[in-house]
Amino acid sequence: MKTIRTSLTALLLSLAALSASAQDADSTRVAQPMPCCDLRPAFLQGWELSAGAGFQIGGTAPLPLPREIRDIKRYNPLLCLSLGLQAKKDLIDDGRWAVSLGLRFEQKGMKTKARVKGYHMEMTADDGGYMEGDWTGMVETHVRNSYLTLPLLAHLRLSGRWSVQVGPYVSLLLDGVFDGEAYDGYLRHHDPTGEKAYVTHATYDFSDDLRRWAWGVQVGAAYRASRHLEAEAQLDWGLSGIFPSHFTSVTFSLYPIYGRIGLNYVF
Amino acid sequence: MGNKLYRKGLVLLSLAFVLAGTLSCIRDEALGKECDITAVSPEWLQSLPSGFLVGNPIVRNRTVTFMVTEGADVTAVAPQFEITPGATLFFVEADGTATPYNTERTRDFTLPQTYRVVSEDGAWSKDYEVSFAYPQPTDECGFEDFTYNDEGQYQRLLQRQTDGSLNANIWDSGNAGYAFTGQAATPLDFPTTFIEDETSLDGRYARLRTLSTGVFGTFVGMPIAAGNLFLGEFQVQNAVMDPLRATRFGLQIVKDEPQSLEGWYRYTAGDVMTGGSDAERDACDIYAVLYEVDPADVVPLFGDDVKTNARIVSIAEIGDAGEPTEWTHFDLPFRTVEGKTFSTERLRSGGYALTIVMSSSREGAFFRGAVGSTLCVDNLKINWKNTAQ
Repeated sequence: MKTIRTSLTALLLSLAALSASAQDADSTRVAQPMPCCDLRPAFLQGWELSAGAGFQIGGTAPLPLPREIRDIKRYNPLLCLSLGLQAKKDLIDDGRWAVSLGLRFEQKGMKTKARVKGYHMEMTADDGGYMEGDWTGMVETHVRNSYLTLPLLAHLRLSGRWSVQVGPYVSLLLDGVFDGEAYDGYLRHHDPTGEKAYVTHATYDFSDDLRRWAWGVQVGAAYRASRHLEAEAQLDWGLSGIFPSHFTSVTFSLYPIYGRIGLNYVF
Repeated sequence: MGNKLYRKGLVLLSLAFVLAGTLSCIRDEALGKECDITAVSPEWLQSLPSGFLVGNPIVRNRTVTFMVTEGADVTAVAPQFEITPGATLFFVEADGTATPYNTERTRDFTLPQTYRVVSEDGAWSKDYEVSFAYPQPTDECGFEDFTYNDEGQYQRLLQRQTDGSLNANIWDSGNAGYAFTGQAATPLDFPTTFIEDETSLDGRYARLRTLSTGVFGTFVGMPIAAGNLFLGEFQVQNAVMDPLRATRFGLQIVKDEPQSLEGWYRYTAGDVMTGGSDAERDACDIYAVLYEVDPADVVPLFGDDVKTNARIVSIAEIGDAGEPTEWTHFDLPFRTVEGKTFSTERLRSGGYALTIVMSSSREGAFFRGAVGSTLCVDNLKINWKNTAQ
């Protein structure tokens, strides 16, 4: 938790610093795309900087849904925020293609309640305990992962206001929670022929097993509402499962797939 | 030009969202994989002549055991079962081939017969050994004979009967529940074991230990497992959901009015109490209970009423057993509960059941006990009053 707070503070501070310098820049700007007396440091000359915030909504889910999942009784997207910075540079003079590098603090989380049938799982506990079996019953899953994400995007301007983006991203897990409950069901030891045990309530916590690095592809669109304001809708498609491949408690890989709606301030 | 690109871009974006949507649809349910005999048909049980069966059939994961009265004719019986919905039942013949089950055909149960259940999806099957046996009254047990469960994980005690045969359905323990925790690598890592070593009194003895159930035990709020051994049945299905109902104490193997429970024991309590106060010291328990049953509808005693049920006739218990490190003899008299008397008439009609219970932690059923508590028992004997002759 501490790491999150530290990184959040750092991010907010840098945002504040940027907006301060942007205001300085504004006062001297003229109505030109590239002001003559840009106050930005030399290495940022020619780059368009923006800072933004948004909400993320989505799921950390197996794709396609395995047949063991019979019913999703409840889905709660949780409140997931994102705060980011982006530096964009035109590639060619016509202003159509651009590339950008971003830095984003984001949360990806959800809470689901599902009914499963014959869901196979294997678990090895820290103390050496080993359990394997097929679970039939209810499963509640709670995911809340905080990432520091680095997207590298190609931008294509479609019109004066609209543009689309696509590109890969890498994420570093700052803090992760993956826990939940299994209840009102039964476990068959080892396989469907094994001993059966009814379970009214069991808890699990795989937070410590989450993969530290993640990557995926981001695709989205942005609408430039005014000179400084841009609205965007993005889809982050995780291509790495949230658990390492040797982790077998959850038999299918879970991919974070989240949409984001946000506002950016363009300096 | 710009407009076209713009449209293309939006189409691409919506496609991505649609893809995410479609992939997350619930798919068709797979056919069933389970293949259980879930119960013996109650209708069939009703149709049996009274005085044929003794007590309730014991349905385990791969066996079904019927206890019958002495001398019962089991050469032509056609038991009926309830199985997993969608699964199919077969007879397995002596040569190993499977033929479709029908309710009419009788089989000779002088020796156990095999039935096979095949799952709805056809990929899984399980063979059940179905037997009819006369449970002979139990006099004594030296814990010399044991077998393993089907998967070879833990020991199960065999009772040597008066005719010299071995019966696997007299004693039971909570080992089947402990198997789920994955804490045990070998049969000797289980709470209830039968071993012979340099500390033996006389061959093998029963060693009951209170053990940690590890991470998985804490997941279900059951941090310890006491070593236990009792006359009756452990229903592993209930081990996690309702552990006090998993221990079904008692069998109708009563020869006469019991006078005392005799045997040898030693005990060491573990240091740290789980689920109790630090000041407490763990204690073992050894007791026997004689209680009344309705032979037509046998209801056993459970973990929550084994010492308090109104049907109890007499109890023999060790009380404060201390912690003797050397083998110590005990002879516990059966004390009749006020208002109860023993009736030889009731005895002849099969109206009594007896259980003997041993545990390395007295409060183990409520998950209070100290990891490491070890109770060793040997040469157990029930002394009868010999009034029934």
